Amino acid sequence: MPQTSLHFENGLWVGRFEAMASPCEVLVDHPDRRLAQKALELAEQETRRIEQKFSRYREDNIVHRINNSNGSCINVDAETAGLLDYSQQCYELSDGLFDVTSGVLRQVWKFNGGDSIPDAKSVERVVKHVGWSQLVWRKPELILQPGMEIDFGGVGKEYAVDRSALLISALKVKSVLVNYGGDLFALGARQNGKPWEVGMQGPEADTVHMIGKIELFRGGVATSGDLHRFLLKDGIRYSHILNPKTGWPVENAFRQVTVLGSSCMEAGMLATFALLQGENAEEFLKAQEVEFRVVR
Amino acid sequence: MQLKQPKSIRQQLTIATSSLLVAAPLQSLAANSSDNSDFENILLESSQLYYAEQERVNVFKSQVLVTGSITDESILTANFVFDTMSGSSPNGRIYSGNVTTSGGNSNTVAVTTASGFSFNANSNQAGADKSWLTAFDDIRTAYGLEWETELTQFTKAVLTGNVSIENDYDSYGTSGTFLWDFNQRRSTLSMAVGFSDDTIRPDAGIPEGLEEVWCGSTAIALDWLSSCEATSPFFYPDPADKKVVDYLVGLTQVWNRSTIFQANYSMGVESGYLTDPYKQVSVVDPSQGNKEIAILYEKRPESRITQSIFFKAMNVVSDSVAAHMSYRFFWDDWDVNAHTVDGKIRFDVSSRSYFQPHVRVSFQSAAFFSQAYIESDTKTDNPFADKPDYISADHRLSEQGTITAGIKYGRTLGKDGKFGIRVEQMHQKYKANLLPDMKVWIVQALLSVRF
Repeated sequence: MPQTSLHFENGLWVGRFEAMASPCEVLVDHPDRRLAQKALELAEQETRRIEQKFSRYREDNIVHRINNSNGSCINVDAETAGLLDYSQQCYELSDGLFDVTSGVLRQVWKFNGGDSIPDAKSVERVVKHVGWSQLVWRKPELILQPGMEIDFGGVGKEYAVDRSALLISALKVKSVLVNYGGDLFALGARQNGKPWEVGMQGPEADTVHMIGKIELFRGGVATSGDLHRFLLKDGIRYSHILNPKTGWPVENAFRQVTVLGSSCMEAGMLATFALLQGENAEEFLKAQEVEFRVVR
Repeated sequence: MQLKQPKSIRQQLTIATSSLLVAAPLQSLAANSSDNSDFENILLESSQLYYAEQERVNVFKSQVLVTGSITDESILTANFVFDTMSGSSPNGRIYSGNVTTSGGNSNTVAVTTASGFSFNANSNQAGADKSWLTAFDDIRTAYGLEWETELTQFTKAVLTGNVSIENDYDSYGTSGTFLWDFNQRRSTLSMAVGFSDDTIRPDAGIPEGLEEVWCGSTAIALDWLSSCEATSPFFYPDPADKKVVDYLVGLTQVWNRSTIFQANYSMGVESGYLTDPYKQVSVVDPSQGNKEIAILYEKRPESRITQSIFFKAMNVVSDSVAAHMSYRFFWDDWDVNAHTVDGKIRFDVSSRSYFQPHVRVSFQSAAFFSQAYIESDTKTDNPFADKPDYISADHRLSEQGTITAGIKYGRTLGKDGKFGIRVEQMHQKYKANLLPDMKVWIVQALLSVRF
């Protein structure tokens, strides 16, 4: 794993570390190295804390306990409760299209660029275990039916971006950009009053060139798409965006959606909701009155 | 599966996201609390209060509060209050519903006092004697500034200045508070001094206390009067002045993670014109079944020292329940003693909204000069031969008990916005049938938004 580093590059302090399977950057536009160091420490500490607590790949955290509760009642802490409340609100706002219990669909869908499409029977078998409405959430108690799982993967990185930014906001510097693998939040404009320029990478696996840029003074940006993550069979491209109600990929999904929001989580959630709308993604985003970019 | 008509869910999503981010524990932030946030936030709060006594006072009160940080260490708060009050309030004269009268209690006395303040307590309708009430209509505007600044890492100072202006009443006040955190910030000692200078200027002038209320150019002959202006040959044209100095010492103690205690002692030294120029006292004739035969202006002592002790405990019972209990004992050198117990319990129904039932009970003893009326001296022809030095029939100085019960609903809006609505009923009972029991409805709506 690469070490945490802090360098002065192009007039900025650039702190880097790797977490949540993504390169993480904290850009501080201020000459004081100690401030940049402090910002980087706060961000890395918080991000590792969140990853440790909510990663589904660990066996020592609350998510593991929940997913292995086998139908028994789990009492969760306040932060987890907050995320569960949030997941419920997102489930309701998206009319059930965003569902933190949909992770079990991965058992049959392996998005590795290959061509192994699951048969209808196995999808049907797994989709039975999907559905927020099947679990019992009465804060602080959660009961999952056996076979169900929850997965905060759809919000975790954006949550870490916003939480890191919130902690950094206590420092006396505003010209900070937190960027975790393309999901980002700017606390304020650059020191010279100009916006941050954020380059957008295309959805193709091999593209290195930017397909556009976004100017950001303050707020969050998040991108959802199927870079590397799709299946191709008989000329049909299967998006990794699965509809939790059917267990099948959303038809005619856009390949990439980028949204600007007041927070990174909000931007990320709107981008995900939009992809779940299939071909209506643009209409959906227009109705939200947000700035966005889409790639078909 | 796609939505036919895309709907906007962004606002709800923003609220959900903001509340999640703000609600999550901020351990790391707390550890760095010396690097205080210097967000240039401006908080705007407004509240609308409606206070309605049964067939009596109606008050609409609008308040706007603006808070902003000037520097990292200082916060400046400005507030603006606008009240309109109308209705009628007890003027001190006997409440005829409780005094045996021998006919002829259909007296009407009209008084014109401060500009826009006129009253015509017509009581000619049988069973609707309102001579014990004075109608009023007043507007109050008040402005305040509060400046809070850190002195050292553990000490803070708060300075305030206030101006309040009514048609006939001005008040200017200032205060300074010093706060000291110690014991690893688990304890806070506060010390405050406040000073206010009030001026009252009724249109007609200040009446001489204990002198008879005249009607026009004659002493009131209650039997035949129908309508006139309350006057007195003893009006002083100069406004009257009242000064108050307040002192407070308080200690707030964080007991453990879920309990906070607070104890305060305060003292107020009032001097000057403490009488209410609009309050009167009836003179009744016992031989005529306590019929009202004259009216006097009230008179109170020219100094008053008030003291109070106050205890409060706040306990977080569980993640979603918090209880507040407080007790206040008030006493003064006018013999007024008052005990007040107040309890509130807040139930969070979600991370964004809560209900808060509220109950308050208080008992108060009467001031030594509180009297419902004066009995005329029947042995001599002078009905006022036996006047005391001071007298007031103001219900607020009489023996009484009050119960208030109500509920508040509050909700957060967005990241820092708040909305609340409070509905309460207050039931007041007076000793010696001075006044009928009073029932008051209070409805208050609050809104605060951060920019």
